[in-house]
Amino acid sequence: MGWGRPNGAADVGWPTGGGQTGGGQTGAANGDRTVGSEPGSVDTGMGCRMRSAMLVLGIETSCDETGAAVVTEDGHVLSDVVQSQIKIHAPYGGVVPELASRDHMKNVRPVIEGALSRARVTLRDLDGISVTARPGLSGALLVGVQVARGLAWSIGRPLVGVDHLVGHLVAVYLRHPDIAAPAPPHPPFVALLASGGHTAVYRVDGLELSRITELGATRDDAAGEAFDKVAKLLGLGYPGGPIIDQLAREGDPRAIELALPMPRRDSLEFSFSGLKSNVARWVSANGRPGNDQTLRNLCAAFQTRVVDTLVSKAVRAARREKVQELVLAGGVAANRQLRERAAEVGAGHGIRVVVPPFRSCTDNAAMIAYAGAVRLAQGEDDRGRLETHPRTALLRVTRKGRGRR
Amino acid sequence: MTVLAYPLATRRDTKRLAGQLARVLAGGDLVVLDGPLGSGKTFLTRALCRALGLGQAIPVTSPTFTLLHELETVPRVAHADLYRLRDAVDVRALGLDAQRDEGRLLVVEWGSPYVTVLGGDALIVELVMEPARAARIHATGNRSGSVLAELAAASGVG
Repeated sequence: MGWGRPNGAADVGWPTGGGQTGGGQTGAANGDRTVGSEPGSVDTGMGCRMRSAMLVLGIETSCDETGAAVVTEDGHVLSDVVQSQIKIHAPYGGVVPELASRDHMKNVRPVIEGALSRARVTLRDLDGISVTARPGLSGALLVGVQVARGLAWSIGRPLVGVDHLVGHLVAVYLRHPDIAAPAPPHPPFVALLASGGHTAVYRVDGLELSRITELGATRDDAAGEAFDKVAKLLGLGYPGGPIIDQLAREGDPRAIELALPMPRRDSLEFSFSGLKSNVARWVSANGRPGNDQTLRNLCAAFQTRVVDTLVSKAVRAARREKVQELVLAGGVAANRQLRERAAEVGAGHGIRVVVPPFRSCTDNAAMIAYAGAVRLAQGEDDRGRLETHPRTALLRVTRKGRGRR
Repeated sequence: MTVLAYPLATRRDTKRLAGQLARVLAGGDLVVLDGPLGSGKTFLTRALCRALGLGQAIPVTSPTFTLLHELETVPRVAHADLYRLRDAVDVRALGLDAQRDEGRLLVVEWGSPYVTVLGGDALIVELVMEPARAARIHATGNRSGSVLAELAAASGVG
């Protein structure tokens, strides 16, 4: 309990001292991403900031990475620090997760200090704190939640917990100073979230949890997981997505027959495990292809099946919900073929496909800060009653009606 | 060492095996699922959860990225996946043995190198794809040994 909580007044201004000089040279912040300028504030040139919007610190420890970010209530990202991206290439071909609390505990303070110093703010400048409270492993989530509780208590500002998946769905509204972003969508819209851990399609009527409904999700593997595991089956490196995307570019998707996952057109659920098994079967029957045209054809066949499934169901959802915009979210949204195919099929139905920049798609704390800013702007405060949960809070729509997962 | 062998030519065969497992397993038991990518570890877990009373509407998805899922079965199943983990230190950090102490039936994909860290006494289900899909089941302790004996008696397989 004690480790996440500042010990009295001396710690209240904790990042201030290091913040002016630290510049993120903290031990764990070696692989971080950052931005320097401050679109959410006006620099008077005299070191004095005229604040134009509420400032929120977001803390993310739900999964493999520790992250912290400072974001304005209108989505301008002042800093966005993740302790590392692709950090350790494990022998099996994948990123080793930051397990439970151990690594998050080690990283969380330097990452928060880095986020504050890069945003050139101190704790006292914050209007509130947002933290990922679900879904995830309780040990990992608790690190962020305890630190957030301690910081909110120390500065006397509100604290809100957010759902990591809601963060992904609102990330399209983030504005990085150095990266072009598409015009923001207007709710209601449909969003396809496809990452290593999650694959689902949502209807978004507003940016609050209560106004987002799941229309369908994967029944087995996530799309990103399928890419990584197929890359592993084919003896390719990690992460699997970009490698398969590259190889598929020069392959013929029709050269090798692989069954299409969940072809039932009326279902909005996904399944990628069978496709993965089909690739495994193909490899055991034909041998693992060398670095040749067969490998490129197999990658093209696999990727085309995944992309066609994602796109056809997402566009089907958008048409069924009668919305004009489809947002792609999650790390798989970086896939070139997915972007192209979604834009093409969407355009055919008068649907605008909105693809956020890559750094907004992958796991980050800026989206957590922004999802929290939405709640804070409505005067919400979870102090004294913030709990972690292993599962998402997003409501699911089933044929039988609405119900919790 | 007794090894039970079940041919799993169809999904129905896997579901039948899951049903038999559901009848002999209890809270606190450890089931380790082994076998190559695509051999059906998650499918068998899903079938086991359905046999333990989980509604069809609740998805049983791969925990590869999320590491651990808890399912509202009777007894509760803790479904873990160690595919991404590096060594026993990481496995220990997940605290899965505590899941058994709390009465959950612990089902672990890619868990065979870590049976000791998982609390030992495992029913090990090896899923093979060649020459044909099958499950080979053996036990590493007293409790899992009696589960195996019950399974053999119930299914007449040996």
